[in-house]
Amino acid sequence: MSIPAVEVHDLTVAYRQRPVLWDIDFSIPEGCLAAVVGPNGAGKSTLLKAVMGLLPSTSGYVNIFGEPVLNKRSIIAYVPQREEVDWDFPITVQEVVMMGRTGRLPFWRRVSTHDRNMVEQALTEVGIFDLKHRHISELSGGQQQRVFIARALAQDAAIYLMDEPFAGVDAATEKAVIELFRKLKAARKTVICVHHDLHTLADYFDYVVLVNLRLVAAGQTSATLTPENLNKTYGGRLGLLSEITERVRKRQVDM
Amino acid sequence: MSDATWIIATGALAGISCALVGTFLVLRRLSMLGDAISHSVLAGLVSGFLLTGSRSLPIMFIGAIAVGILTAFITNLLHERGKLQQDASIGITFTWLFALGVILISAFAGQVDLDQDCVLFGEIAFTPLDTVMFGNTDIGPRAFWTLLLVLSVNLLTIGAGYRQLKVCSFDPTLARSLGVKVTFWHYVLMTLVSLTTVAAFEAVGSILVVALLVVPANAAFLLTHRLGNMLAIASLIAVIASFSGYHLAVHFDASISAGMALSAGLLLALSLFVPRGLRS
Amino acid sequence: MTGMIQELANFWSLSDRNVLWVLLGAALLGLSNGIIGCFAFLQRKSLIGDALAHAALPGVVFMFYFTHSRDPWLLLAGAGLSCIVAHVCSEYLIRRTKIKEDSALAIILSLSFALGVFMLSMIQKLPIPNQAGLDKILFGQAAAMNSADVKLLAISSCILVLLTLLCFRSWRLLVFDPVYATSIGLPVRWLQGALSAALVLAVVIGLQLAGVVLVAALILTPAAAARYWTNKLGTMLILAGMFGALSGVFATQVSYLAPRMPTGPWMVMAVTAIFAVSLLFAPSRGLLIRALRRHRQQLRINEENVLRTMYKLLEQHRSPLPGLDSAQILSFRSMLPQQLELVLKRLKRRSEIVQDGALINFTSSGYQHARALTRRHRLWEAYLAERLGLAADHVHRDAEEIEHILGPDLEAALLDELEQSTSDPHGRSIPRSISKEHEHE
Repeated sequence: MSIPAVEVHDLTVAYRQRPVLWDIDFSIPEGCLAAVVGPNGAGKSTLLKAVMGLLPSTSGYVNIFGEPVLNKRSIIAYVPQREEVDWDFPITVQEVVMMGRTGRLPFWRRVSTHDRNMVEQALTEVGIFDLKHRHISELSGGQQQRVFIARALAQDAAIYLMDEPFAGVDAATEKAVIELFRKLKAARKTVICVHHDLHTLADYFDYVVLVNLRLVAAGQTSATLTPENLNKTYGGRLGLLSEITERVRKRQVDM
Repeated sequence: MSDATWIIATGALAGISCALVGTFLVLRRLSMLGDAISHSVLAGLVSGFLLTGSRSLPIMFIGAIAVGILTAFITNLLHERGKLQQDASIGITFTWLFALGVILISAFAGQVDLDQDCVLFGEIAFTPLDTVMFGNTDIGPRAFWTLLLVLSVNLLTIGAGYRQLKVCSFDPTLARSLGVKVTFWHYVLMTLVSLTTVAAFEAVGSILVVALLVVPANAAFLLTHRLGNMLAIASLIAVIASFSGYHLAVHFDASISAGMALSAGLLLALSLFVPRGLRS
Repeated sequence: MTGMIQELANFWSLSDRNVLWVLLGAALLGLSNGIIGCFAFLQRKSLIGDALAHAALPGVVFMFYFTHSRDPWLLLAGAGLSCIVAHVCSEYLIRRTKIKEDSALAIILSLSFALGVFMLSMIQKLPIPNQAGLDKILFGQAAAMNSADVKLLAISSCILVLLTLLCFRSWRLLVFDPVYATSIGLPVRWLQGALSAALVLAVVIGLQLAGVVLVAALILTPAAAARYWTNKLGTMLILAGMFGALSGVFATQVSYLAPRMPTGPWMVMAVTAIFAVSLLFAPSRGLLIRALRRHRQQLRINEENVLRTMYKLLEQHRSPLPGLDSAQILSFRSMLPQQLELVLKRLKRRSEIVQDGALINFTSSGYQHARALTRRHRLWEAYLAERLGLAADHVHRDAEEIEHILGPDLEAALLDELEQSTSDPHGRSIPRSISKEHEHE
């Protein structure tokens, strides 16, 4: 069997001292569109950030193509939730996308033609090339989301982690993004999204990871998205686990 | 050059230096940390002087930078370890350091050629009196050359770290995921703020420093949608404020530093009314 | 030394009228500012005091310019007026423009101060009598306080304290949940107005003693210190008021003993010292206490782990062993020999184990404790395996951490969920609870 794109092994994460994920264990094969699904507060965004190596894990590890995530960050692109940045910041669409390529370049490295081409291509892919000189506050919600996705595309990554890319976007954007996902899949890229809409889940994604504090199930959508698993994710006997989670948090707040 | 020209030039240099670092403070929502550092620097100046008995430029800079970074550090410590709000951490830290500075001055009065008046007011009108000699020629006010030096340091550092400072200010999460050292750049910025503050306030007083840090940067924030432009416009506003402030003050026979701050304020008020269409 | 005691005695005899005024003034000021500061602190507007203090200057100068009088009441009115104007301006910037809150504060602070300095430098050149030392308001000059100033201070402080008593309930709701306060029909705008006015008054009366820069500390620091000691607003107000008053008294003494020492800065030093003590030592929230508790917790976890390891080792042997030695325990637990020594010593002291030469054995209470711990551990493991579907090789590490916080209630809940499993995922039996055993007997 080939090496999985993302392998999460026995991962436990505490965020702001509150354990939000217990013993997550799954792997996602290369070239698939995967959705992370679960109720509010189930730790979906945390899982994404932990996969990116942005949050310290209490135990366990994440491997990207068989190597620790910290060595492989350059092939992962992360798309945050839109609320996480200041949309008044003085910066244009093109510059935001360019950040994906040059954010950490030292000053003596010039922006190359290749960089520019990548940015233009990414802008075109998501259909906002015409808006490239606009200020980011002049965009609609869907367009803002496209800017973030373009930035990730410009990073030319192998793995795309997206936190709710469809939250609050218009239908046209949703369609465009899904088109884009299919193209990425055709190019053997791996996309992992936090996703809310159960209705579209089976249409959009071929792999699902069901989480609610712990992993409920992970696998091919057709096999995994069963009423029983959904019931476990959204209902389920979690009273005890939540209670224990709460108690761990209290103890840590006291420390 | 006439005294007036020297004063305006010194004010403009102070203004540009402050506007450059102020832009990043404003964007990172740390304006009040600028206020804090400009006050707590007093303690650094006094202790530097008491420890070495010298009022030479390097000692002043070292003392000020040390205390400036200490302010940023304690603030951060109280915020993260002590679980205190950011504002409260800032307030407690700088008032403590300022009180310490005032007490040191009182305790060693007579030995220290500093007082809190100079920190709060400073008077740019006196800068032409303190000149430096190059060989046998008088090459102009000391403050002018100091500020020119500081401005060069600011320009070089911001030029070198422009991309990093930009991405750290806009999206720290992205910065970390790209492997940018967010904490390092935070302290680089704090060092620049301390350096600029100490150089500027000897000439113009700490309140004018705060005004120059935040007022032109915010006016530019209202006027433009690009970071590069924001830096340029803020600097331009600082220069205009220096020029018009001088004449305002002379006309009313009042403090020139305050005049410059007020002019900057007027420009900010004007930019509130610039119609959207005209903003670049 | 005796000289100093003599001086202190002189101080506390309060025979010196001037000392009495300053002492009263500083204590009252600390009290009322500390109390009002709590509300600003809880509204996350800690630096508003700083901004308002600077904003007072133009009002003072303006009033003096028009009336040529230094009547403290008049100057106070001027200061209050310009604070209110500044407050309105900053609210405008925050609500109506894209300027952010922190910038608005810094803009208002620096510009109004610049305006004050501008006017001050103008009138200094005018032939107005009686203006010497007007700028002293910027730095505070406690020693120059006279009975009229103290009277003003005392009246204002009383107003502040009374206002707080009167508005306590509604201000508490306003600070905690303004939306709810509106929904139940409280006049939120008026309440916020009254709170802001109280804050302005607190700042303005603080100026004369502490000066423009330091008055912010008298508002903010006592509140921040008090927050570490209590979760109740009422207690917090009382503590903050006490902290403020105490530092006032302390600072007055310092400047009495060493007349060169300024009262305002010493007051700030004192209140910051109280803050530092609170930060470190306050029960339940102090940093040192928290570190100590973490240390104790770690010790307890180590002890429990050793007990459980001993239970497991002894259980593995069909025929009862005479005891274990430390090497056996160490081979199962990753801890340093010194750590184990310490743990064993503590267990012995609590007579959970006995040591005979190299051999370690349970006492009967130790055995029961170890058995209870093992039981919880294995129940949790079984829960993880059955309910979360984890593989057997994954569950152990987690159970290591959780068993230490499972109480009897959660243990019972676990048992309910597992419907009386009797073995853990590793196939080992889960010891029955001691009480159950007694029932069977």
